[in-house]
Amino acid sequence: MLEIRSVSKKFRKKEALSSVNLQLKQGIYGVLGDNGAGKTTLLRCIAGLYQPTKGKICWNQKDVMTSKEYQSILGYLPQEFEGLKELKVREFLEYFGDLKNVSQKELPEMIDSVLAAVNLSEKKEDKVRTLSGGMRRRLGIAQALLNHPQVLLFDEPTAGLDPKERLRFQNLILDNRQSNRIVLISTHIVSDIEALCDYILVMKSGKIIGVYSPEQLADEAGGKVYQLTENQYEQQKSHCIMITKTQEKNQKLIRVVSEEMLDGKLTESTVEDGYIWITREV
Amino acid sequence: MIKDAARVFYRSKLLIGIALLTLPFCGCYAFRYYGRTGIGMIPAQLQQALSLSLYLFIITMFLSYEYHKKLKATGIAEAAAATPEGKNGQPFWSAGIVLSIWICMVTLFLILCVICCYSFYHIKDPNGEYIKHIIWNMLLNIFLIMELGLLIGSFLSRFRNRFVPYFTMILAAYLVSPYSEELAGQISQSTDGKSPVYRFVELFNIMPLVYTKFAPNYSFGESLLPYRVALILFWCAAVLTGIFLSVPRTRKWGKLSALLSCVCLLVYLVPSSKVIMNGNPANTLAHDQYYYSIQNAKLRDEEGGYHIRSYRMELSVGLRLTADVLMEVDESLPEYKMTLYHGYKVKSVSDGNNHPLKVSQEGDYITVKNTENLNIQKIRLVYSGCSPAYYSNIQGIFLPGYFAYYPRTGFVPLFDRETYDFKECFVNPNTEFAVKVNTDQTLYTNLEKNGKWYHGKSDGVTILSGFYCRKVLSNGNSIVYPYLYGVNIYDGQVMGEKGLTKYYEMMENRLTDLGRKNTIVFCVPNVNQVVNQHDGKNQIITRSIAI
Repeated sequence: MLEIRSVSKKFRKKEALSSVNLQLKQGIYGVLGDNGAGKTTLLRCIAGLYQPTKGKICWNQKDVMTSKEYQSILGYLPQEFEGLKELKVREFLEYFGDLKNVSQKELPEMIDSVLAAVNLSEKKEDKVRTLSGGMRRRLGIAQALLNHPQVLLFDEPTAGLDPKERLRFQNLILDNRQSNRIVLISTHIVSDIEALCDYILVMKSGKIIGVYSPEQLADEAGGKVYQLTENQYEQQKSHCIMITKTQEKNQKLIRVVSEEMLDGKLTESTVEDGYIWITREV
Repeated sequence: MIKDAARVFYRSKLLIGIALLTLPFCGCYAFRYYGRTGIGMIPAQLQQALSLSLYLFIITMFLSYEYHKKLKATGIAEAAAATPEGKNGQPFWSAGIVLSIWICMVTLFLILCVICCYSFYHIKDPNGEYIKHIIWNMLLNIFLIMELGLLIGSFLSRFRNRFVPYFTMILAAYLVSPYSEELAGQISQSTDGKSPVYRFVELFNIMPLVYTKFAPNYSFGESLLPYRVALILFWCAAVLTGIFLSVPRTRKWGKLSALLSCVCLLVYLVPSSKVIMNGNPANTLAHDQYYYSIQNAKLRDEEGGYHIRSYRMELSVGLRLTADVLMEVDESLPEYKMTLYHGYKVKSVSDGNNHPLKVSQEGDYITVKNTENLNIQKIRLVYSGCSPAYYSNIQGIFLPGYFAYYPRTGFVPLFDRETYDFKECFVNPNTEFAVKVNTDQTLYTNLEKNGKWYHGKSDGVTILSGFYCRKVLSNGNSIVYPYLYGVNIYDGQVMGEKGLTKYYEMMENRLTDLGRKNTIVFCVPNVNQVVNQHDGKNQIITRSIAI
């Protein structure tokens, strides 16, 4: 179990994380929040890259900052990751295998296994520089999967990827799901995690404002979501929050959420609706 | 890990390109004066290679920065930091090892180049001492300085943007270069040497002193003194402290390296005998010119009213000179006036029975007071210090007999304000000397060696150590000359095997012409003085290799 006990993290005067308390057991967790909500800071604290200003993060009762056991079961993919362009894919994974103290005997087989998992087996002897953006991200996932991690952290893994690659990522995570594994995926793109995660941790201004299942998060906006025409929106915009704009049969439709009854079509709420609703400015 | 780190290095066209091109560049530069004959050409071979220090420092800083930045910029460092070996900073240490291997290759290559250039001259080098000097110089001035560049580049790669690191590297290059010294020289001159600008600039003076326009010191070579080693190590430890403190796991090492840097700084700051030929008024003869002429230090001329019959001197040469001198005097007086160069500070004075005596020291002048009216036959003076011009340290000794590095009777003016040079200060030629010098260096003096002691009558004890050879000539004459001078000044020939024979002949003839017998000729360093000669009773001290 991964325990985050009253963790705060300050950078000079700015408090990036504020009193975060969590207990994470096996499963896939989405960390959802706007830019600057503290998602990356939270993941870096969990990865042991930042020492919390207050509080502690423990894996099986041991502080992650000092626990060698934790470092050996952790897989981490940072937000910016391009790989070492001069190396071949296989050499790059050997580099990370050495960093993770994978034995030289096991390493070749492990490399083949993770490349197969991310669908990059045929690129094994190609240089990293020849891979596309999506392939490099998959390579990043591959290095995180080395040494059978029990805790997997992905920081904005789909940022900059096209819809095909984003779907591929979702399938990859689901295919590699293991019963004893904790996976945390931070993102601000709701659609990337709504079909993937068991739980969604919603962050705002350095705080966890709630832990929801996707259904629960959608229910937060239940009975509050409307589909309005442009004219209807213009008349009622002060009473609602816009979610999306869509085009349907030559007509622009605006999806909004509001506590008040609006003149428009009431629709079923989604995870994104729930997220917008609970993170609204009061 | 090192194999992986090496792959990243040699597969980067920029990094490997610069690394490989450095070798032929160094080779061409080092061989620039190969085979050339003329005054100063032998030490010039080493100096030429050492002048690469600055360029290699800059190249290594840049290479190290870009290499380490490569690991940071692509997110590798962050992903690696979440791994067991990455948390220890392993990717950076591996990169450091790869660069260190390249630095070793460059250093070894330059050592071979310089030895090759030096071998051309077929110089008689006792026990290979100059070859060792070349190797140590390369290790200090090439290897260690390049390692410092590596550390600085590694440290600066931790900054996110490129502006701060590049600005810092340019600033560092300027501060260690001769240009900062030129500016310091101008500021110092404009304030008559009162400005402390040199104290600041010399903190960055890690480069070998090969960029100055002063004549080389053939007998001393290039400085390998502890203060230089301490200064370079101070900067290495200081930068390492920054590196260790930036990696959470290695913070405890940061405290250790901070302590090491403090120790190194202390060693650097400890007053010691240095041989620095630059514009700093604190160094070499410039110090005395400023002290006596501009600062107008007292020069006195008063009889002592007694004579010193004999000296028994026990000298220790380490960072500086420590002396325990027992003088036999011919009179018991209420006070004794003595002259001792102001760079040596008196620690204690006593009589022959170790009874303490009162003493006052002002500049070059010491007054020993016999307040208890003792019957004094001997005076013991213990003192230590150094002179910027007449050095005495673990690398070399230049203590000429005419210089008051041991006490003289009375108050004697040591410096000539008209010629900006020291005056001759020989003693009575019938004075007995017994001298012991505690040092591992080979010594050349004008006294006879007897076990660990040197005995004899003389008008002044000259002690030299460094790259010298001694040749016994006829009529009891001999010469002690710097074998790196290289050229017979009489006929302009290179002083290899044949040239040396010719040189000895010419010196023999010259001494015969002068009617000299039982005379030792000391060919001493110039130290930026007017080339001149001091003639003693049984010694000639010349700042050339001719008389």
